[in-house]
Amino acid sequence: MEQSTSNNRGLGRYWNMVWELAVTDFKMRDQGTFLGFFWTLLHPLLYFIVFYNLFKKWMGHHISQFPLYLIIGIVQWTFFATATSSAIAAIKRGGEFVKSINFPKSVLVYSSVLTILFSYLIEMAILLIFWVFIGESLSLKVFLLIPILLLQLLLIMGLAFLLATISVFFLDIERIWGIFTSLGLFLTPIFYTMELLSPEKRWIILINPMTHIIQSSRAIMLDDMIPQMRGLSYVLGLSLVFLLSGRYVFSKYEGLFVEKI
Amino acid sequence: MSSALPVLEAENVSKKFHIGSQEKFTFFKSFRYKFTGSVPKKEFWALKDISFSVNKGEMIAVIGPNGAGKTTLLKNLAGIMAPTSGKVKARDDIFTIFELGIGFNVYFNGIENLYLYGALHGMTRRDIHRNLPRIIEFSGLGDFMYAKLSEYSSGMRQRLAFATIIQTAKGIIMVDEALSVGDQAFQCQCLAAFEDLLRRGNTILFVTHGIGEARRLCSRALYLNQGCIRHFGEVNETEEIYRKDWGASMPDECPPVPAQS
Repeated sequence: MEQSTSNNRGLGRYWNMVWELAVTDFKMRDQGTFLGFFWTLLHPLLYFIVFYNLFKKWMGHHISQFPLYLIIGIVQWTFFATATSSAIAAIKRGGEFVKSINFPKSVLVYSSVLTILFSYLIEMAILLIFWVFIGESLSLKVFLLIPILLLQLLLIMGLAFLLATISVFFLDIERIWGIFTSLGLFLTPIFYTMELLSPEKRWIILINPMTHIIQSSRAIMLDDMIPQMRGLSYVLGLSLVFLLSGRYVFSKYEGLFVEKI
Repeated sequence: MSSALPVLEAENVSKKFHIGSQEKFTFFKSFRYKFTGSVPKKEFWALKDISFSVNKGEMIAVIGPNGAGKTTLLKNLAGIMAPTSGKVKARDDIFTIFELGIGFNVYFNGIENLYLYGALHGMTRRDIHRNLPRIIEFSGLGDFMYAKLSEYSSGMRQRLAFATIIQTAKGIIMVDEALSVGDQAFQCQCLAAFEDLLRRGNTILFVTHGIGEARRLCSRALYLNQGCIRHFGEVNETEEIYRKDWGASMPDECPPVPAQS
């Protein structure tokens, strides 16, 4: 079972592969569509328009800056949901590479998330420009969004490796995760506040790691506050568990991918 | 020129496939099979106890009838698949030319595709950039390098793919039936490129049904039959045995179709 035919070219060299695949996917996502690049922005924008108009009367009373509150939630949630869904199908999408080239399969997972990260960074940049444009203040605390993003990436990568591995063997996971992310839209405080839930039910929202990511982003951007460390430590711990187990199952089974896809 | 250690070694390599297990299991199916205790599959040994070694700078032709395990052997040597038992030792980078043009993007032009294709094979942008003029010249595509891939003929796509690898690869190069690409002129060009690669100390393994023109470059030939090495040795001698085994069933010309009454 031993094999030493792995690539002596080193992982660093494969970053070029990660990068080229991600850039190609990013360019291709909107290629040939009428609105092209704007589709990237249209997705969160449409969610925003619908949620805003549905809930502005109701939530507007509870949340002082409801539109901004809402858009942060949507942007952060969309990133999480699209990145993980993209990673699930990563191995299948790269099937022909797996079958005829020897390379670390993790390249496919990294590039699938990187593609989505590109759109996210653009969304975030536009959001921040818009923020300043409408006269909202931003202090230096805005840089705290960077560690939040890193934490979010850690969470996404852990789930990405887990889900990508499982989906090679069980097709159902793609459907299951689709349902999960649809429900997550409601089980994450995106358009409502946690205070609206009765205290006995709040745990449902609190075990969701994206709740803490979104609440922390709001704390930084809306309230100019340093986010709650307790929630974020929970996310960090959970992400590490996902990442370690994800990397473990991935490297354990990646040798079998070629025969399963 | 040849180092003390062989550049590529196979020790008792065997590969087992489960025929009929290509279908993906859903959760439900996997439970059902667990319950009934039967998984519908048969064992098939594609490679049986293969041992041989290749020295640096050699060119080896791998011959054998369809289904002999030629491609499976190369995939195991290249690390695309892991052998069921046995060991493979490679002391150089391996480049595989199995399916030409995988990962090509029809919306990109020739040059862009060339960088993408190179990246998929673990090359850096610098590797490609340095060899760009040679790749373009070798491909003979001229102005078509700036045309979108959708405007290429299938022959042109294959020439682009082949040119990229053959002008950039360094180490062990494995080619699966790629010599059938292109017209006679391109084939002669490929042989010249092979010769050049060998002169620079690279090693080549290639799968073929007829050694033909490549004879003068090959140092040895490996004849596989039903997953076993039937013979490994000097080219003419190996080909002789191959012909003797298959003489009647593999004639130089196809027999005429008997007239229908």
